[in-house]
Amino acid sequence: MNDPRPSGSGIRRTVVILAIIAVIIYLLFIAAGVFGYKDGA
Amino acid sequence: MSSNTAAAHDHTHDHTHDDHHGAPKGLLRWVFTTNHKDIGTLYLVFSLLMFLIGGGMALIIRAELFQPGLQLVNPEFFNQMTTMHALVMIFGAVMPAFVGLANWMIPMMIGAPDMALPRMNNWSFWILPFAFTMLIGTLFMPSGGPAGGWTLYPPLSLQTGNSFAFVIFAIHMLGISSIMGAINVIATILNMRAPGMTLLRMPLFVWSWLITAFLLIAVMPVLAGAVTMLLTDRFFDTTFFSAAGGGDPVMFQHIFWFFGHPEVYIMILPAFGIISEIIPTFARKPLFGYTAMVYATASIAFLSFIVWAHHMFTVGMPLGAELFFMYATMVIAVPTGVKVFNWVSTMWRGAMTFETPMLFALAFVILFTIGGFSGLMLAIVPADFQYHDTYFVVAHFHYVLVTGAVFAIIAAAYYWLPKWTGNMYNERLGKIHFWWSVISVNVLFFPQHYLGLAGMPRRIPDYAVQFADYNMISSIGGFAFGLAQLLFAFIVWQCARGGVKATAQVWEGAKGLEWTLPSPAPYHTFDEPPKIDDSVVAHGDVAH
Amino acid sequence: MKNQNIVIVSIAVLAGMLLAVWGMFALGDNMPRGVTEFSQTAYDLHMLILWICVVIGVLVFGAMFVSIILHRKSNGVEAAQFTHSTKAEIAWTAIPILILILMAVPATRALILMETSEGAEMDIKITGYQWKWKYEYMDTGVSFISSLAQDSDIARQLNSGIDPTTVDNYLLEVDNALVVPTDTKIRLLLTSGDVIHSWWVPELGWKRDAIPGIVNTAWTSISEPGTYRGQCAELCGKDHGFMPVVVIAKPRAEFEQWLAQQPGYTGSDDVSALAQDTADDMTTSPEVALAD
Repeated sequence: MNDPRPSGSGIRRTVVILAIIAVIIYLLFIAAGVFGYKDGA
Repeated sequence: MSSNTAAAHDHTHDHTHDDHHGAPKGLLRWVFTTNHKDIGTLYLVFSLLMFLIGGGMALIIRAELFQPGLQLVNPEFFNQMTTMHALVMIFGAVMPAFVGLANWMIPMMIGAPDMALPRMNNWSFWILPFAFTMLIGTLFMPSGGPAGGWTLYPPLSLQTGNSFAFVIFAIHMLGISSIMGAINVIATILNMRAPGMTLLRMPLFVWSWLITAFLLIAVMPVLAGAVTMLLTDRFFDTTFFSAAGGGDPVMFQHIFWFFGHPEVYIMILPAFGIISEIIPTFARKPLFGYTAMVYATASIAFLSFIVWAHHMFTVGMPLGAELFFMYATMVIAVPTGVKVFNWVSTMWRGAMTFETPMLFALAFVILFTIGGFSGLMLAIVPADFQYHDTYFVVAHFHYVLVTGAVFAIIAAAYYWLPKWTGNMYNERLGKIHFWWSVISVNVLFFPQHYLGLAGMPRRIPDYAVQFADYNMISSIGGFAFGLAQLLFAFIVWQCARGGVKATAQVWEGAKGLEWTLPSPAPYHTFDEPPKIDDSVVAHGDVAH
Repeated sequence: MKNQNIVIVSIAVLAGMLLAVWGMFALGDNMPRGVTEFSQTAYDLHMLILWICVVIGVLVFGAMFVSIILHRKSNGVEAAQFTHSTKAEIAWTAIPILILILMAVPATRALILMETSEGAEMDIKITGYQWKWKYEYMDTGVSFISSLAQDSDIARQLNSGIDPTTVDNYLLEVDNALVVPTDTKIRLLLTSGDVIHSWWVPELGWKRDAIPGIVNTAWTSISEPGTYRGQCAELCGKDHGFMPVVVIAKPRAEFEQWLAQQPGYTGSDDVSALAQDTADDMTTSPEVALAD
């Protein structure tokens, strides 16, 4: 179950998922800025 | 390293300095290290340095405010000091201190040989000195450092000179460092626990960091997005936050505080974890309501995402929004209250002793709760229209962050220093440091409540004469508190150099895996997984 | 014997904490009650929550101090080993929820009062600039700039050598104060010409941000004639500390006399007629982009 020897694939999966989440949130909030634009004067 | 060691460690095979038998010598050890204890030490030393630099800035502020009239600095520089003091303390002192504690303690508390990603760990630390060199360096640039407050509200922050680009680059680097640190913590906790160390057997410090790390990953990219848009508004003619170009300056505040409020809890949840370790040890009694503590921490983390606008009640939101954010903010008092009640219940009918870590933990419980009370008052929108942007707010968040987060970090340092160095710190000096700090910090911040109620806005370099008395008292407290922290630096240095040898157990009532290791903890620990049973589980009685 | 100890220590701790609370109130300033219905409401709420916090604090910290005094190893006590109590945990989750509901009711009522600016008898537009305020009495042709009084401005320069205590109302005096009538519901429309400012007079009971591109609405009705002083509350650059707000409230007749003497005065002498015109064009929504 909880092997103290880290399985490389488990760690890799965790890292990839978390990194993707971080990038998505970053882009999401930039997108919020872009779509928040009204037609500029 | 043996062939069946961590995949993450395989990469370090050919580094001769990554030796099983002890730390390598020389300065380069610290540059190339992938050892969680070394990196933890780097973080903690860096954080202490930043704490002293940020404290120096605070003393410039307090010196100018010592009496009415401008005597020492001009208003531009004063504003740079308030801005930099906040950035340095938040991103340079408090957050790295918690990451340092996480690096040192999490692997030792869950029975892991190291962090899951040792080389990334090295990188996330070494970004920081460069980021802060650049950030603090802006003070010496022709246009001066940022002076619009750490919240960087546009349009004011867009009036910063070209140094603004460096500020934003530094913030991006700090964010990347934090995200990497958070990923490392989560990957370690989820993948590297020793057999038998189930999630609900983990020490609360580990739990609080697991939750904090998720908060970090969720909100540091939000800050990055916000400052990216500031950068393009400032240098590339976009108008995200300019009404004249179709943008909205209030939107920045919404985005910023969507980051900013969870950020506040990023700085306090690990402190909750530390206090939940220390009080049971010195009460010689298991933590009261372990599971409730875990759920309370998780609830606070969840609520932190839906209360952001309570930082901006005066921007003119619709009534419905004001009511929603008021109610949501008030609800946070419930899980926070559960935590305080549980700490007091842990002490109740214990057999307490009062070594320095316990003293700081007790001061934390009382003074953090006072900060919580003023937080509850600030949640009440009609009253907040008076409190907002006054010294009442300054007093509130310094109670939460100084007597809260910083006291918890100091408590943690005293608590684990013997484990880190193998030596006991000087208990007599530790107690002097405690009493000196706890008295001066209240002289420093308590009168600021009165200043705010009497009508003194925050972030002003000079003030009307009716505010003079409290400001003078506050400044005296500030200098006394600053001096006390030099004593702290001395105590730490003295302990690292030598002293009475510490036992493995260190504290009579200490429970948990880290206390089964010798003091100082060897360079490599738990290469073989430890056996987990009730005797080493920090909170006894694992069934509840 | 043991119970007797708890009682004695509890009484002592309680007395000590009440003394501490009394000391805090005796030593310190408090929020002003102010001169408007809303400022009184804000004050009452402030005191209500403060007292609730004091009572909770005395109970929680009291229990903690009793424990610190009695349950120490040097007293030779043996640590109990209990780790939970469902009853207690339900109680200290449920009771705070009830207290919060009790707080939320008057807070909600006060907020609704604050956010209802209908029925205003006159409108004043306030525009923040770095670092002064502009006041416009809508539809009367009267408008002027209000900035820091000159003697304060000289004294506040770095190393001016002037003792601030010798300056009248140091940093809280302006060249042209905002003059308003008493007992009149005045709608204030706040905006900014550059960065975000915040218009605040503690005696009126609120502050509200002046944001470029947005018109925020607030209202007040001052019950007592007098001079009320405040400051910009949102960091707005180097002279943020030097843009005070001064409001002089005069009885209605005196105010009308004053208004008619102002340069540029074109409007009617009946203030209540003024509001009718402007109320129709101005929206109460805070989200009006001027730039459009």
